[in-house]
Amino acid sequence: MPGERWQRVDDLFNQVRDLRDGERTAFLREACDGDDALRDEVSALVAAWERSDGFLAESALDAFARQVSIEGWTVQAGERVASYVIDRRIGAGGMGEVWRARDDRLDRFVAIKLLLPREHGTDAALGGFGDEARSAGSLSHPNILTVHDVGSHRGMPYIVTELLEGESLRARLGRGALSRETAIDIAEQVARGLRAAHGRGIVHRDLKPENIYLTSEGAAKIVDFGLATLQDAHRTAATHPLALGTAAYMAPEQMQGAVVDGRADVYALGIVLHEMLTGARPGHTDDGALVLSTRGVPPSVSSLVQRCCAASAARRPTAAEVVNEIDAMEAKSPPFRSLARRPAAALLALALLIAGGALGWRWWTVTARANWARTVAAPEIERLSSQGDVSAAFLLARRALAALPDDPHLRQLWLDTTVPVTIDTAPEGADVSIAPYQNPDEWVSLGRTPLNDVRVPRTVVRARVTKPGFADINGSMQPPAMHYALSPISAVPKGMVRVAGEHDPLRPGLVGSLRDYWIARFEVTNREFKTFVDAGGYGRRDYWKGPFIDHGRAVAWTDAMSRFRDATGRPGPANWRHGTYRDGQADFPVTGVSWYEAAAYAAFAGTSLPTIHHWFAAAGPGRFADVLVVSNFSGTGSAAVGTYRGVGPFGTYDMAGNVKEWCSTAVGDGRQYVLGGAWNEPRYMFDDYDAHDAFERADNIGFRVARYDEALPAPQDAPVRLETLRGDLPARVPVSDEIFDVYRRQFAYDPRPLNASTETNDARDGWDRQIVTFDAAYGPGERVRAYLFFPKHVSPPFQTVVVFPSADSRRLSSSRDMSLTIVDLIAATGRAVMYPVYKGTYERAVPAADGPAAARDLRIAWSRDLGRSIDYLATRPDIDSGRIAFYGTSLGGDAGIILVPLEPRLRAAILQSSGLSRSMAPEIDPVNFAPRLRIPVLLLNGRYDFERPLETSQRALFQLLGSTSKDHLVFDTGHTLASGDVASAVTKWLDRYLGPVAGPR
Amino acid sequence: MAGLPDAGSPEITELLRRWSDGDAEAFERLLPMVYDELHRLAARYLAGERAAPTLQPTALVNELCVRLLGWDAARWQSRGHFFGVSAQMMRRVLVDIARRRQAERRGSGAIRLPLDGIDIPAREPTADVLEVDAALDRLAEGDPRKARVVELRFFGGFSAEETAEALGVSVRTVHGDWAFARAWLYRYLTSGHAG
Repeated sequence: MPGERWQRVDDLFNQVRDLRDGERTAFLREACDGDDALRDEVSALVAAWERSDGFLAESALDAFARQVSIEGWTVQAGERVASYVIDRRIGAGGMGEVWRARDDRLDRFVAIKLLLPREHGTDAALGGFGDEARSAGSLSHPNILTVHDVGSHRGMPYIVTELLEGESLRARLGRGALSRETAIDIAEQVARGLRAAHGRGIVHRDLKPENIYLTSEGAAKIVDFGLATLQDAHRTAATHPLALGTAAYMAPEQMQGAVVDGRADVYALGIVLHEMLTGARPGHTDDGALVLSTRGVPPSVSSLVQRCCAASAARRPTAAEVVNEIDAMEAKSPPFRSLARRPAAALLALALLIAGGALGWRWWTVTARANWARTVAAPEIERLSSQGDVSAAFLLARRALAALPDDPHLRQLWLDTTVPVTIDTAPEGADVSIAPYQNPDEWVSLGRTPLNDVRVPRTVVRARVTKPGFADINGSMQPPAMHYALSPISAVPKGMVRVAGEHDPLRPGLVGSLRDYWIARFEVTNREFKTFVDAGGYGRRDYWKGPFIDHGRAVAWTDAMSRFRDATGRPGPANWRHGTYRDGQADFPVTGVSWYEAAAYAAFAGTSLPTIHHWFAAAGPGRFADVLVVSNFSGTGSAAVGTYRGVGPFGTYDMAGNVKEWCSTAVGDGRQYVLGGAWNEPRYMFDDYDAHDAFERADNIGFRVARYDEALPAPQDAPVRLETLRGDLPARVPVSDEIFDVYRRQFAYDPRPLNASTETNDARDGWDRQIVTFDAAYGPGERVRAYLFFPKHVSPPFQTVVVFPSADSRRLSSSRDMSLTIVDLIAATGRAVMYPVYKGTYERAVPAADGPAAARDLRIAWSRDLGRSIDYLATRPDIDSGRIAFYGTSLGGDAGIILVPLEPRLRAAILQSSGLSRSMAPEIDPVNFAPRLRIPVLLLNGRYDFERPLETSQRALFQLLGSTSKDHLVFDTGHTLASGDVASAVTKWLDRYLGPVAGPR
Repeated sequence: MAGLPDAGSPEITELLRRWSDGDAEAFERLLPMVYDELHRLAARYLAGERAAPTLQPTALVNELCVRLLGWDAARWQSRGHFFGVSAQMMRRVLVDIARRRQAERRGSGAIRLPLDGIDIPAREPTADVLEVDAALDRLAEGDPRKARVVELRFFGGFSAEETAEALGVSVRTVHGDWAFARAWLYRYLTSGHAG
């Protein structure tokens, strides 16, 4: 309560306030009655009151908002955002602000657009923002604003782009219509930008004059690619109607909220072109149809505008067609644009002049390109390939071959970097394109299915499969074959992709023959799980499949439910509070749920948890580790689903890493399988088995759902013991020497004449080559062909390495198509290479026979082919037959485990991408052979090799090897190793055990 | 309204109750929700909508509070109670924002308030929200009701009539308190003492 004196001041103040100026002094003197302090106090307050007219006149929020509009909300001048120093604000809009900033590292100015911090409900859009901006940024096209960087600063997502000088097309249109030439020039440049973006599957969705920037150099640049989706989310969140200006450029299908493709951008381009030509946007009839007013515009141009603006997307041209059409117009009526503005065009004209007409020009360009292919492209392809960047090597080789199709060296590089694949779709007639897996910025069309023996990079690639009327597949593909099942769009359950059930189970215990089924693209999110919680799912007995078993004891449903509480005691995941998830985590995978809760959610959603057989069919771990590089094994935390780009064959995300996923398959001891590994686990967990107590509610376990069109056959639904899956390899004990001797004898052959002949000689940079043939050690009249490569600049007699190729040799039909990477690698060490065409490889293919007897017979033939090859080498005076080594890769490495112990003339061996595997028969079981491999042996492996896993296969083999000089080198790759990685280890090993190479190197 | 938890949701109501009972942690839980909403409003300012005559600052505060707290007479003891809680919340939020901006921008980013009118003339004294907040605490020591009037009108953006309803006094009293309080604060802020 105010004191008495305060009350007195208050009263006097209010009375004085009502008086006129002249009366106040007298009144106060009288009222205060000699209390000068009181009088001074009131006078001072009145004086303050008189001066404080504007003080607190605006509310605090108003002052704040006004200040924000002047100073900026997001950052301020001088502030540092990553390596950018904020300079001044150059624009502001509903979503955020654009500032000019200096890039410290590169000492250049850039534009940085900061978006206001996240709102609830837009997290998903923001999650996609980075990816989409990055992919748009990676376009690097002269007509698209270059994106340098994206990131987040104090919770605000930002995007850094090149800083443009000029004005927006909107500003330019503010000064009236453009000349026809300028309008068409701009339209063409925009169409070129769109063509590049659409070619990579990126749609702008909000093309309008505000988003087209005209630089002072005369270039038109499309800006804000990838932001349109985000803006939509912001608008929705703010229940904010679209600005009229934007709606005018929006295609009818987009207005209706349909999923749009590039043709919506073409519609917008049509409207923009109309506006540039006439100064106004088209009008509308009462029923909403466009009324174009292209009077005075040439028919070719008005026809183009008309078709771009067609109400039906199907009738619009593609961006590429718009470019072609405008090019054709320009060809008819030449100088649409001045040469001065186009230095490239000027240069071309000059070159034409010098080269003396069209013929000379053609000669000049062809020569220049051929020169490039030979001197620039070829060495670069070899470099990329040896570093393991096979996709980049593939793209370059493709371009180089187009320039110089008949060059044998380029053709060999092409064979080295590619492998033929067979791609089927059901139904046929789908278009397939591929792109590099890790950075899918260049797509190459492979053609229309069925595709037989098309060559793709010898690695995993992203694949896009499209057919009108069917859902697109945006997944991945690994050689040698891929089968995709297409589904009519209407048949695809929301958020799911179709998985072709037939697959090659890499591990024992998995069922490889499944019916096609559906699996969710992403892990179940908090947001999705909340629908279950909010629907009272925890109280609905019918969703919960009993029995609940905890350490062998049955738990009543009500007791189980009392355990499934959140941190505040309400039903829900362990890490939720008050029945909901943490702020900003709506699109993160739900975790903290037991297997029972996951299964109940699946039942609620009309789906199932996948079995381990189905999970692996969809995850498709193969021979390449690329998926692990771009998946969430960050160690820092789970991420909103789909944030990481690791995509499975059928279009699933986050199966590798992020959170590990409950599967419906039980171990049989109260545990359930949990697959895929988590963000805080090692990468190899993607393909390893893990199982947890069904009651466990861990922070790194979530799940995804699947849907089967019919009930599963019982074996697929049954529990699977961990030992079954681990293949029980260590349990095999090598046989005794007496028994092994029996095995050994079946490989032996009787000496007979070689009848050798030399077929051809040719040469290449690093070596000379001979093709020789000799009689096989079996079968009447059967001949073995072998390639012999001799290093240049080395004097005979040569040390020799006999190679055994990978399974590619069993897929290719001709040894003319063999990869020579291994040959180059060994020839570079100064040694000769013997490359026999073993029985069952290349042109010596045998009908597929998979039984144990066929497998044994093939290995016997291989052993004899190897023996006869060494017999042949012994006849050559230029070969040092006392220094012969073996080098097998993958299939060849596995073969080596058996062949090397049987061949006493070998001095050393290298087994690459090999390991212990199951065997169909004891007489060819590597467990029986490895202990008898006693020469120096080097194992080369990939840490993330899922075909020959590190512990159970590679190290198991290493332990078993009988050699006293053995070494095991592990690289951070998948099954396939890069020649550049292994080169120095191979050289050292051979130098050590065959001795240094004599003669000049 | 995709962005917010349902207005007047049980959780928010509960947090508000705990906060008005003096539970500081409850307010910390509320803050992020308020921030999100404020960002959205700031975005509309940045988009230039503040020029629109329909979007007055008081309307924004009201919208913020209504959306946040819900307008369900049954849940509130009275409209006046609602106004009071809103104004308190806005004060806390704006002060918090001012502190953050100051911290982020090494002392130069607080929200400035003109002492002599809407436009900030060069070299004229200005105060900022943090100073007003501190001065208001001093004022409350002498006369809590006047401080409440400032809170409601300045931080809450409420009219004299609404303020009167919240405090259960006459409009005339509010006018008197408002004039006195502004004069007192002005003097305090410009001379550094309350006389």
